[in-house]
Amino acid sequence: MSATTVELPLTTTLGRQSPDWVRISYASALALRFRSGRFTQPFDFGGINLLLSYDRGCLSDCGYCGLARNRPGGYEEKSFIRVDWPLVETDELVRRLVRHEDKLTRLCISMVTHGRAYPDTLDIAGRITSSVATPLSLLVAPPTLNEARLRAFRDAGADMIGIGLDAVTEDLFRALRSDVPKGGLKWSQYWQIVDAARAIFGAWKVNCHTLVGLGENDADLMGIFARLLDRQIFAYLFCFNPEPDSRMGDLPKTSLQRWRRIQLAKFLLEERGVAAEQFRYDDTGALVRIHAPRELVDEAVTDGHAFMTNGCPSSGGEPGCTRPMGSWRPTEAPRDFPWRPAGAELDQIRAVLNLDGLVRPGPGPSRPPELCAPPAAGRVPE
Amino acid sequence: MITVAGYVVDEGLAYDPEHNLWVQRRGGDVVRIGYDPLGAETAGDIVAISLPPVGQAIDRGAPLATIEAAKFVGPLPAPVSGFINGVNESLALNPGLINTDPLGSWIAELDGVNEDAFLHLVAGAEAIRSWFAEAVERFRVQGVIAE
Repeated sequence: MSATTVELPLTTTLGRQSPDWVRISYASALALRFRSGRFTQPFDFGGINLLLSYDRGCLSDCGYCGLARNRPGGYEEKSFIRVDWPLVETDELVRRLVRHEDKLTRLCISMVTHGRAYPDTLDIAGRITSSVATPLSLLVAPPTLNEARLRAFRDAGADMIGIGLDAVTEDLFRALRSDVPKGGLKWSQYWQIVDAARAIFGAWKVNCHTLVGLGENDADLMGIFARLLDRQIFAYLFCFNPEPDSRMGDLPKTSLQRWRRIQLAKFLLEERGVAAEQFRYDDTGALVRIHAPRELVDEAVTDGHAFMTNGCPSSGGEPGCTRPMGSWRPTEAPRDFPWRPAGAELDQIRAVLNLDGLVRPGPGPSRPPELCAPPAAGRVPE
Repeated sequence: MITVAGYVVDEGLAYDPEHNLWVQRRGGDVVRIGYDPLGAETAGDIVAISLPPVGQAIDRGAPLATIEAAKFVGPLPAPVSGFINGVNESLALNPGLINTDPLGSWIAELDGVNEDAFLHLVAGAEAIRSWFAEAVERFRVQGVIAE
């Protein structure tokens, strides 16, 4: 892959920058009634996602990202996770958070790589936590941070920290995020921030975003899930969804069967205590067998939570950040469900999984429950 | 044109109150059909539309077209029965026109439409005003209209 290095043009919203302005996800704009519109299937939605906004945009250049510097177009024209992110005034946003607080489940500020990202995130976090009690996560940009700054985030009221590794191996990270025209992000620096955040925020208060479909194999994914599980750090699963005009815009989306099998395997590893050795791979690293009791696997599928969005919890412990249609179009089958799948949805999931071809008899859980991940990012066990 | 609850509505059109579609008589047994301003707005930003094949017979209630918006996808049920004798191809290239100019963005033209087919539609300024105001309020309560 190659790209021509260009400076982004200044935007038509010049001067409307963070901290006084912030972008919000399209779904958040609907929930807070900045925009008119609806979801195909009505459901309770209260996971509000914010994104810092600057005239020159994000200074990183990740090959798969809609905000990459070298993706054509002005920053205000760029989609992120394929949809428009409306620009809104921060103080008006906070007023609406207060007005709609009863239906909010989780708030998140996503940093971008920019020199002002740290102070502006701190500023916006303070404005939010002084006004609403809804828990606040920060998806951080490691190049802008150090331990002291993470502590300042904690003191400002953020309770969870996310780190967007996205690429799950060092080689892949380097190819997509370091050795690119305006890249330079460092795998080691990302892990330093993971370590620092884990120490400061505690067990199950840190998460790493992992993307399926960037060129990794299934063994790579399961390896990082196990590594994070051992450290009581959540792995949040995302499905690569090619952004038009990005350097990886022409690559295919992850197949639904691979995606569903990874969702299931991750759930069995993290929440059902199935040992890493019970997942078998072929020479290319593709998951080909799960050796586990069939009834255990069937129960995990029927439970449905394995196929829900991985995201930070609400104050009540339920999934709080559900990102509806973040990785699938309304015309497609949901990749990660913002609601608990049931009925026909589970039938379709079973058909895609083809468990008869995947599961072989094997031992039951070997990981003690206290060493498993809390159910679905903090969900209250039934 | 009349303004109802902030929306400009053409009182010369008939409206399907259940699906927020407008129906324009074009003379004889020919009509054009489009999405009314409230339907278009509450769908969200429309990013794609699939149009029916010309020549196809269509019954009232059968999918006339399917729209895809940012977070919504759904069929537009035909408000009357007839035969498709034209579709607005420009919408396939620029579906956002339905959001920006709903009354000017016809979706399909039907012929062979019986006079009885109009009986369930809302027509006339006063009837339109009353129905549309109620519809706006219903959508506001549902929380799908921007504040």
